[in-house]
Amino acid sequence: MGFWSTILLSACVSSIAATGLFLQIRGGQLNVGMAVFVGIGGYVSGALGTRAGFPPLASIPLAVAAGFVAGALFAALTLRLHHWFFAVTTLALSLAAVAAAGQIGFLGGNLGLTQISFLTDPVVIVAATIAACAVAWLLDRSPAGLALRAMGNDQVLAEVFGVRTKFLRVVTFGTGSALAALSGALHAHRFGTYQPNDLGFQNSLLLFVYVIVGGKTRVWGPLLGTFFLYTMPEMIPIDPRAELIVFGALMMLVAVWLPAGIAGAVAGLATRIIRPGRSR
Amino acid sequence: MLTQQLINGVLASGIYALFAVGFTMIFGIMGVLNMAHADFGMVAAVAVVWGVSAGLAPIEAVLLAVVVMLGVALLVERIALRPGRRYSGDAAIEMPLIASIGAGMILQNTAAVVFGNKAILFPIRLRGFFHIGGYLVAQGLAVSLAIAAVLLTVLEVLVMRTGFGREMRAVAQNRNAAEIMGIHSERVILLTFAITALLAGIAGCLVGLSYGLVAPYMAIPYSIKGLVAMIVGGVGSLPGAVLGALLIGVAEALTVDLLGSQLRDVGVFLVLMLVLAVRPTGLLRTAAGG
Amino acid sequence: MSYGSLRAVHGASLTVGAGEAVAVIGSNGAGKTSLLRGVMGLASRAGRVAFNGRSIAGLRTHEIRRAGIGYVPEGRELFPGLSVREEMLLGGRLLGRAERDRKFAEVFALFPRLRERQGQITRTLSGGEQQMVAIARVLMGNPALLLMDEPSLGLAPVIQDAVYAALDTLRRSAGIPMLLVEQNAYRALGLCSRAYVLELGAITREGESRALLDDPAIQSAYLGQA
Repeated sequence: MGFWSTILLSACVSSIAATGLFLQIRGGQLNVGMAVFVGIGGYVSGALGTRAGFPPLASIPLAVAAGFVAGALFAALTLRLHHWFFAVTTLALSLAAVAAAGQIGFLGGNLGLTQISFLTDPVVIVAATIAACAVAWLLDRSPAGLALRAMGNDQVLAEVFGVRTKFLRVVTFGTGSALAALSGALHAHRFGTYQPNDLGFQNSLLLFVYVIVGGKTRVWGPLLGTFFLYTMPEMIPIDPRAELIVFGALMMLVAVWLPAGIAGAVAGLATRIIRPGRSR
Repeated sequence: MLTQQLINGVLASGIYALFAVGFTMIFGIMGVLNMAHADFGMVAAVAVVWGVSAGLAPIEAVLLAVVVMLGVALLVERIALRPGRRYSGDAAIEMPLIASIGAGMILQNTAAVVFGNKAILFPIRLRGFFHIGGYLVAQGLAVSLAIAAVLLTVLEVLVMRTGFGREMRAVAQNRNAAEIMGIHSERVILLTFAITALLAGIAGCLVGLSYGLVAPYMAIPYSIKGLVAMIVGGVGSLPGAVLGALLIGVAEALTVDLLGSQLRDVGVFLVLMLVLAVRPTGLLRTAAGG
Repeated sequence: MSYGSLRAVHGASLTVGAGEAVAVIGSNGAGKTSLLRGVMGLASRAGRVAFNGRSIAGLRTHEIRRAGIGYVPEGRELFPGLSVREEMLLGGRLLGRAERDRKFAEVFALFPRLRERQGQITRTLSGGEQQMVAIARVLMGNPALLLMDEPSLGLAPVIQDAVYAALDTLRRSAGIPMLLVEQNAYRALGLCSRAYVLELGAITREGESRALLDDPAIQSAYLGQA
């Protein structure tokens, strides 16, 4: 049980970042560098703890705020970029961030932060996960959520219909990054260390896979994706690289056949079972 | 020393240019970003290693690598990129992008499983230096730059002065109109894709030649820098991609000089943000085609 | 013919004989453009489409062009980054060098303005010049049938005169059969010997142009704005 609780709690922590990414992708901002914002949370909370003596419950909220600010700033600088222009910028950000983090002595340089104070209370983690989902769900249900979906579908068209896309992009990206920062902070306090490589592209890619495969059209999609893809490799022990091959194949499958991901497919199926007479 | 770094930067830009041009051509004619493009280069390089280790002469290994890589590339086009055409709106760009990320993951990790994570020695290596006017010029990179220059010149002539090049530009600028003119647009697209895959394959081998090593994940930094070069130079523009590559190479080198080699990726990022702030469509972007 | 699940044209039946110039007139939204797009394979269609006795219903667009049907689409659809000469080279790309040079001379004789503007990029041309390029590039390929969609659209009357004069010359000298779809019924009926009237996706009238011109019903519906 100890093994599984560790896995599930880790999945919870990751799912918070995945939910944040979901919000960003919803609005058309394909962020392939989410690990950077996760990293901001981890480093800020960790540094506040090890360098300034803040207790975790104080440094974590500050880390979340830092994540929001960083995200909002990045979004403000990249307002005119769509889709893959934006995606490439986040990739470049990934590379730069890993390099920069390794050079800042304050953050422990290449070795990163160590001896970060522990906070491993499962209640906190689960509560944070629920809170993240609640934020996403509320946002999705609100008029802003509808505007977000419109913007993600066709930004120019959304503008024509009066959506304030600039404002929405900044706020949404900030919120998503805040959730990512929360995830990073929780991670840092679970394991006591944080390193430059944690901001790397490979981690961002995993989050991206969780959201896309889980489903980017339903709020519980990223949750499903994270839990499914995080725990499956634990149940079927395979080479981590083979695992990535499977993930890659799943991504292709979803992109070509199931654009709404597993969540979308399940929801579609449920609709058909509950209301069989309805034509799609 | 500044001049030395500038020379290094320009030398490195040859390989970046080969990747950047590939990205820009695919986007120009297919309207999608193929994130697995640089991985085709890795496939070719790794295939050469495998061929030589299996007893083939280097030339034979290169030919084998070309065939293998083209096969892989066309498969990726079929499975990952082509189905995206049936979507409408922004999904038509997003979905193939995501699918190509998946394809890249498959290629990288399959190579890793087969060959191991670590760098492998490339059978054809040029690791020496020319000494010109007191500066060091890496031989491998110099050869790469020369090959890149020749290939890209040939490509430019092909695109701007031949009948097939006209067809390529026509399909890129207005696919329906190209069809009404009797152009088999799908075939033109596939041929263009094959040409870009070839460029990637050559670039991958040149990386092996210049640095002596290839690795399953080697394409990632080239992918990112190639894409950044494409954006900086202006998407869809061949000369733009070359200019972008030069800028990236030089920016990297300058960053190494000023901030040390650990931070060179920061320089690339800053150049990107700078160009996007000043000229979001890229430096050489024309309104349509060309 | 349908766009997605929307039927734009149903039960249309037309024929164009050798050397004939036939018009299809009708108001906006009648389905005229859909008709031509359907023939060219750019919109889905059902039914028989035969050319020179051969069915072309299952062919792809570029194959239909190679079978000899030249299409000048609504809105010209030129290649924005190519020059006039390059557009024409594309049109004549299946010809041998000598024949292509001859076609250039022929087409420039028809549209002298284009000879002056050969090197110019098409998106910098005026509307009338663009229309000329759209026709010229199709002519370069020796089409056996010309489909024209709204050639007068967006052009000043003086330019329309020039374009229609060229079409008239074409009709008389080269005898290329053409199917002309036009909102400007007056001009269309002036050029063509026979016409169909398309209303809401179906053919409602057919006849000699002269007869249609004199018909009061046609006059009030389509010739009020001549």
